[in-house]
Amino acid sequence: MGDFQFARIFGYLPDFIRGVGVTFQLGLISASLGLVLGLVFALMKFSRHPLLYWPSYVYIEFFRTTPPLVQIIWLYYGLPLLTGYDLGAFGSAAVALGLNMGAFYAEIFRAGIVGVHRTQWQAARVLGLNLTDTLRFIVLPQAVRNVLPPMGTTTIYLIKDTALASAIGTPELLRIGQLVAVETFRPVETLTIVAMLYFAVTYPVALLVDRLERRFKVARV
Amino acid sequence: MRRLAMFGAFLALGLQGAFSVAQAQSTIDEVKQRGELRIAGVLYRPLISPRPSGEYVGIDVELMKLMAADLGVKLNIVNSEWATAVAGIEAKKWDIVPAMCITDKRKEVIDFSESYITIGATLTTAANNPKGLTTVASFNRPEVVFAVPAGSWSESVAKEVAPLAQIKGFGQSTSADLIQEVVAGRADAVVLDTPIQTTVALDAFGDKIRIVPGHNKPLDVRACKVGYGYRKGDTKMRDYVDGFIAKMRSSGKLEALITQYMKPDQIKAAN
Amino acid sequence: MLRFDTIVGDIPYLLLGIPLTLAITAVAFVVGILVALPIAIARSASVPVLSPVVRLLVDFFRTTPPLMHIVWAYYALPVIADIKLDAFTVVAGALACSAAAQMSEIFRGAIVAVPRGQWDASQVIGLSYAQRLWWVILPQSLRLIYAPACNALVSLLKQSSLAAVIALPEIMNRGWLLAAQNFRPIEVLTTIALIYFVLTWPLALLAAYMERRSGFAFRSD
Repeated sequence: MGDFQFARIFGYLPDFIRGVGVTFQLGLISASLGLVLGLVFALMKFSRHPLLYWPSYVYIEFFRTTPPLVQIIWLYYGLPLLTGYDLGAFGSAAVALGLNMGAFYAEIFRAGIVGVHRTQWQAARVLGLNLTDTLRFIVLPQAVRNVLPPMGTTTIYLIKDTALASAIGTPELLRIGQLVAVETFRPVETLTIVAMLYFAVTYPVALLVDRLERRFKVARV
Repeated sequence: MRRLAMFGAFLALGLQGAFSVAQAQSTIDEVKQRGELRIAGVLYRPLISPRPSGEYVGIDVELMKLMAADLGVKLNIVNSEWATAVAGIEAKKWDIVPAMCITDKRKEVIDFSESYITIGATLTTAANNPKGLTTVASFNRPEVVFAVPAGSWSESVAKEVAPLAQIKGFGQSTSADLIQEVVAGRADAVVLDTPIQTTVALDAFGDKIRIVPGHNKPLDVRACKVGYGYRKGDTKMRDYVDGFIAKMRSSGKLEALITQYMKPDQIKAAN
Repeated sequence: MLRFDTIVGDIPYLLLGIPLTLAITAVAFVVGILVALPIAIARSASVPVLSPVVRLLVDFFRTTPPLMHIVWAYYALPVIADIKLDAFTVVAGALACSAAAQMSEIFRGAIVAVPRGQWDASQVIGLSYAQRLWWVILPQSLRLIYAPACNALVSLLKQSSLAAVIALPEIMNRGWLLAAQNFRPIEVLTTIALIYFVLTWPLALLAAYMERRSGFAFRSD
């Protein structure tokens, strides 16, 4: 149990760094996609028109309750089968995770907007503001302050799902780690380094989000 | 709103149309049109295995590179597992699955080329396994657990040789991973091919394992004839691939590659 | 193209994975809570009792992917410490660590949200620190815990699917094996998604209901 060959694993550092890059890109793209989808579906769910409400409801409930791993693999094999379009490993993971995150974000956006007290809307009306101005100057700024803390923590939580992309072979950090472990027969050193890399990359982001949360946390009685 | 719906309908029809037109073509034509030969990146050392850098190495990789060059297209290796390799052909994720053992079950869904390599199977267990696994028959008991990659030939061998035993199906994994399972006591048996994987196993694990019936003594169970899997009914593809294999054989290239790659250190690890 | 009729007969095989899935979820949840509570209490008291090591561990499990923990514990641990854990223990343990880290933050937030007046008043009537905590503060913090705890349970249920990669025959792994047999990954995955949906949706609805009741408008993981 004695001899650890960390030096040898460090030789693969370029591959690991590339994996970190892919993880990062994956997280960024899926979070962005999620933001857009989240906003769209959140607004759709406010509508009373059934053609807007029900697709949004189904989307949100479905993507929040099914495991992201299933979603990723489904997209990877299902999309080409059903439509002939192949997004590839990275694309499938990015889109699947984006859809997944979008569902969570949609609920947060909704809660954020609903959380702006009704009296704010009434006061805006009394002041004679139209809908656009009401949103722009009164409601949305408060809504944004409401959503930032949960958005931050949810994002950290969901970014971890990028590791699931390894299941379809996306060359992100965990996958690279597994390949190195297989090639060198040294799972301990390899996986430990992978763990440290993950921590090194996500911890600063988490600290940032925590600070953000403290600043924006709405006081509760 | 209605216009959007109509546009969506036309789009769906169009895609459907494109898809069914493509169905009629042979894979070879599709490959040439696309400019790319896509193969399933399964894991089976030393025929094909992925490296951390992203490139694949192995006998089949070399052969496929030659095939791509012959067709005048690029080679694209798409990561895959055994469990989904066959489904991927139907889903058009890849044109060929290399390193695939020809089994009747698979033949129901896809077609195979001629076999270019044949390997036999053995059962491997831990030397200190308490379940008394010394003969092939002794593996066929409900308390015996096999560790295999899901959907692989190993799994079908295990089921044929020991139908009463339990199966633990993993995703993409090497024989070393699975032997580790056995050595760690989390499974009782692994199917290794001989002489390649058994050589590597003995080299890496020595007397921690026991091979039944023995190294270089394959089981009576159907041997694995390794071939290339492709879309069913694609006769043009079959003619091309079989012709390609024949060419590789007669030119001695196949032999040369096998000699080059089928060495324990090649299979074990890139040092 | 999609032939669901082919897999109808195999549905019982998939359903047999439910007990394991639920078992993993339950164990991880209970252990997670048992570990999270002391940590949260110690941190909320902001007494530097909690060693930096524990703080680091909590942050580590909060920010790094559970899949990575599972792979590490299953492949690296046997080599380091000769501890050969079986698949169930690895998955339940790794998810428990993740859940504990997540929930310690939630509990801490809930405890801190109880008004200071409660601490002071109960001190005035002569209760000891432990008595104050147990009889006055914690019961009031529960109000803010129900909803996030429910969400944590839903996440755990989904995360149990990670056990598939180390061949534990819960739902996802069974699906994998089935897809390998009948060459129909999409039909199998869709069925699995439905199974997970049926298992998690009631819990998600419960969480939403509790959120509304607790008056806490936004989800914070």
